[in-house]
Amino acid sequence: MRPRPFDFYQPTSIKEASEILHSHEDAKPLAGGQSLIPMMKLRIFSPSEIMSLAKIKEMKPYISETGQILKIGAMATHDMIHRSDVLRNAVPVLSEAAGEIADQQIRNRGTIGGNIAHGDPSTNLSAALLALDAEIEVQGIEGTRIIPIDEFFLDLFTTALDHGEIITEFRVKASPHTKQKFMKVAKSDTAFPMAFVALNVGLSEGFVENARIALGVAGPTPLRALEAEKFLLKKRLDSEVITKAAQIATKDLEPPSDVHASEEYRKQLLSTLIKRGLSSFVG
Amino acid sequence: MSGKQLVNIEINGKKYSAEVEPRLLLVDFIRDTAKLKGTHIGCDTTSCGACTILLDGKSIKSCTMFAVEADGSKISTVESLATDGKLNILQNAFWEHHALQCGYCTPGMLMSSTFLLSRNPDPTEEEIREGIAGNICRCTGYINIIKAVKDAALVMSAETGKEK
Ligand SMILES: Cc1cc2nc3c(=O)[nH]c(=O)nc-3n(C[C@H](O)[C@H](O)[C@H](O)COP(=O)(O)OP(=O)(O)OC[C@H]3O[C@@H](n4cnc5c(N)ncnc54)[C@H](O)[C@@H]3O)c2cc1C
Ligand code: FES
Ligand code: FES
Repeated sequence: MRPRPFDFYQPTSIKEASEILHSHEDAKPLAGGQSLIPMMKLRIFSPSEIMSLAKIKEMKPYISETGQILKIGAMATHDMIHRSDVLRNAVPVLSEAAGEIADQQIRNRGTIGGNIAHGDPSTNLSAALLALDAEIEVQGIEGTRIIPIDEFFLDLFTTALDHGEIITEFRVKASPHTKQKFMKVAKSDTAFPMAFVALNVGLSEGFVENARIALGVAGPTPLRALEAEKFLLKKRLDSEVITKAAQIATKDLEPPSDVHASEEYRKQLLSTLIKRGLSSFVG
Repeated sequence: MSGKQLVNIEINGKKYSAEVEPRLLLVDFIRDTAKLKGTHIGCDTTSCGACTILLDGKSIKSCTMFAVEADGSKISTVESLATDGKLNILQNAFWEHHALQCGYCTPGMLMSSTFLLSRNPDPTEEEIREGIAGNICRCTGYINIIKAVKDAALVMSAETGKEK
């Protein structure tokens, strides 16, 4: 299938891009196209105007380090993120999550900005960035603002981005001393994920100092297991605590049921992944 | 901008330019505009990898990119591999190891393997499996493809050794 016809814009600056989005109600940003183009080909979604982000000079892909803060340009590809030594050392959960996205060809094109802006609960990087408490820099006609990741995902395919705003950068704190892990279950690399978790746990002498647990395909948005995170505080990660945390994290979940996995099966997978992940942090 | 747009794309060292609709997929530019039929369309849904090409040296699925986005870039397709009808090392290894039956997936397999070997000249079996994970083969069962890629890597490293 081929997409419906559309008008194509290719701005070269953020200012020009903001103006195009502001004056064209239907214009849709295009990054790597690995979510947008398949939907346009199936005609699930047919924007009449497409605005490429590829030639915007301020948005050339980058990963940079300023003190403890890592900055990742929205156009950085999954492959760049996966292969960055800086990220692998400082925020391994992000590097692992990027490496587990689909296949090499999709990782060569797909971007972190597109993965997050898509607002889909099955996107790996949304869980990783939730686990890392990331900040999202967005720009629009009114200027720049920062959205904490906890406030970004509102509903299925619905984010805190206003029309005309584009994501320009992600910021995460380097956390080389916390225990981090990303784990996914899918029938094959390119198959839709059944479930995944991103964990980021700070331990001090065996006791949990802080914990962020993010869950994928667990509900309408990427989400955190807030109650389980709270339960874990100041506890030692023994098998009883880990089992209880997994139970608390999954008891009220309502994951989607589809051809890939049923709701009940997804809950069991999420619980098992949390248990395996937390267990790997001790002994 | 509405209407057709001029795009210039270099494919296998040759420049092609054409006025195209923005919705034209890169794979259609390669097959219909440049008339290079080696690049296949299998699933058309970003799953099978039959349409894999190298865009500025990186493997991508050409069914999932618009030709206008490739304006100004350099592309290599499966036709770039052989020289004067002589198979290159990787193609030869596919032939030797029976790494194809119907051959439909082969152009994509070759381009994914070419990308893998360009970054990792001595891949493990696991790395080869990872490198071709985006390519589906319905005939061979993959084992012979993996053997072929491994063997090609050995032959290539022997050849570079000879040159030194
Ligand atoms: C077969 C297949 C399997 C996949 N499996 C997985 C998987 O297991 N896990 C996973 O995480 N992903 C998976 N993906 C999706 C992939 O990761 C996409 O690359 C990613 O979700 C979208 O990034 P993109 O750059 O391609 O964005 P695009 O497709 O270009 O855009 C996606 C959306 O984001 C918007 N957008 C893009 N960039 C910006 C920006 N900077 N500011 C504002 N809006 C923006 C677009 O308007 C669009 O709505 C899969 C894709 C395919 C085709
Ligand atoms: S035709 Fe492009 S991935 Fe199958
Ligand atoms: S050889 Fe037939 S699909 Fe691979």
